[in-house]
Amino acid sequence: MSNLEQLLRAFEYGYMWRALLVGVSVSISSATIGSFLVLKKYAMIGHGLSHVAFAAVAIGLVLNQAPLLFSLPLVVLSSIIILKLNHTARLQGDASIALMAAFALALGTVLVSTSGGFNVDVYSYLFGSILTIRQTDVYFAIGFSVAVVAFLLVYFTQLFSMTFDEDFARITDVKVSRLNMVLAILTGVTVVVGIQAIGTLLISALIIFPIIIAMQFNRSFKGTVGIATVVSIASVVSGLLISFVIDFPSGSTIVLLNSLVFFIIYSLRTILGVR
Amino acid sequence: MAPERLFTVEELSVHYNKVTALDRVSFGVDRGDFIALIGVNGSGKTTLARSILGLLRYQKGRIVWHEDVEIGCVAQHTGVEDRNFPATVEEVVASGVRKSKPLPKWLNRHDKTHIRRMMEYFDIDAIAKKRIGALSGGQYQRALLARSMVMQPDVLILDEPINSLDQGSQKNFLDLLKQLNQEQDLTILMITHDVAGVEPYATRILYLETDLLFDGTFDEFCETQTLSPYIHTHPRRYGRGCS
Ligand SMILES: Nc1ncnc2c1ncn2[C@@H]1O[C@H](COP(=O)(O)OP(=O)(O)O)[C@@H](O)[C@H]1O
Ligand SMILES: [Mg+2]
Repeated sequence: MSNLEQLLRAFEYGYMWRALLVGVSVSISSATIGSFLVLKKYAMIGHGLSHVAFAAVAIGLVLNQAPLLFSLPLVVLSSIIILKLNHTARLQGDASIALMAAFALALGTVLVSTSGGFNVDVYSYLFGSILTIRQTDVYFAIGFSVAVVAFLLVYFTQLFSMTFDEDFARITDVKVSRLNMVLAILTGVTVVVGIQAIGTLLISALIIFPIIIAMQFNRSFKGTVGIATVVSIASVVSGLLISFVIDFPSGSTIVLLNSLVFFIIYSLRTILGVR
Repeated sequence: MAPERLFTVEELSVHYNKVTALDRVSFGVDRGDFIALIGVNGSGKTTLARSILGLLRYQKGRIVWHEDVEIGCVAQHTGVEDRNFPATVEEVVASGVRKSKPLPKWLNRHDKTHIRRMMEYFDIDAIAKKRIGALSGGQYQRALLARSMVMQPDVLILDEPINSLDQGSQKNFLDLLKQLNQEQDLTILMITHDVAGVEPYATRILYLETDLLFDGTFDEFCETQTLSPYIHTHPRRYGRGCS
């Protein structure tokens, strides 16, 4: 059977549709929220949360709880804590997040080994496996991304203002702390929603890559966030389909695609001398 | 006619841990003032500006607003702003859109016309679509000025706005400020290093050294005996201004 036939067969499976719906939802929220995080120099939040999400999933597995349900409050709470760390201790912020990530990873690993080691289950949470996505996950993901888009439409001007210049935003009565808090919460939820399609360890890449790729195009802020979203959706959809055909972990495929696109665009820009 | 008082700083003190940045500073600002706030590095100028802007919690004293005053600001220009930030000049200027505008703050035709006029006034309309990081120092500062002026403020606070600019752009920027001050009665509080350059512009000099050591006109500043040791130790910067 040719690859093309196999690709077309992907759409015959219910789980593939569920994966695509969740994937597109996650890619929208991760690209948009990620744009603000990266430009505010909070990219480390995604990285830290990835590891916390892994620990949370491990705890869930050990306690025989639904891992995602379990992760949600833990990851969102950690997101808020990381935000505070980033704020109160500017210099040590990065270091604290790195410590937190290492601690969570170590804790997760120990928990996993006490409960039978790195089996297929754990592996799929780490790097993404679309087979585990249920119908309720789809509803939640879609609902969440609709909420994110609505939030962005209403607060876009203010979010832009505080991302470019937090002090100026404050003097124009933008509720900077409150919006930062909302961003942290939305980041936490994005990470959890992305666990199945992308995997805990790779979701942070989907927060960072799209905006970094989009910034190579020299556009307006709106344009850049738009391009990031398109890049994100395209990479997730094609990554999911490719991973179906050649049976790779979905998250890894998506992240490799993003890396490849970034590498090509960056090289072209450098070679052509575009600034 | 008595000048219209906009705000008064009363006995303002700010400490960072053990460092005293401001010690019982008091002065008033009237509508139409063009104040040059001068002092050496670390004398508390930025701290004072940030206190007035409400960006900093101060420990003692208070700032009394005598009416509903809208403030704009141009922060200290370091020349190391994020050059890659993906935003156009137009988007940055538009972020000054009036704060009373209800959410979602999408721009209507009236806002857009207003923003375009501001960019024309500050001579940045030709580069409206350029990336903000690609601007020269002078253009960048004019863009930040335009962003604040979109708010139609009563008071503008600027923190060493011309420090990193070349001579031509410095004069151009100060001329713009003077024009706003005289034509639109905009009140200006400008932090600056160089008293020599501000003589034709500022109507009032505040000299800060943790305490507010001087508040008066330029001529009085040059004559003030208590400050002369200071002027002597900085002959190049201050002596020239007063000769
Ligand atoms: N965030 C801060 N934390 C601790 N000390 C500070 C902080 N900001 C300023 N200072 C100190 O307060 C004093 C006044 O600083 P600043 O207001 O920036 O002075 P200026 O703008 O006149 O150079 C300096 O001694 C400076 O080191
Ligand atoms: Mg300063």
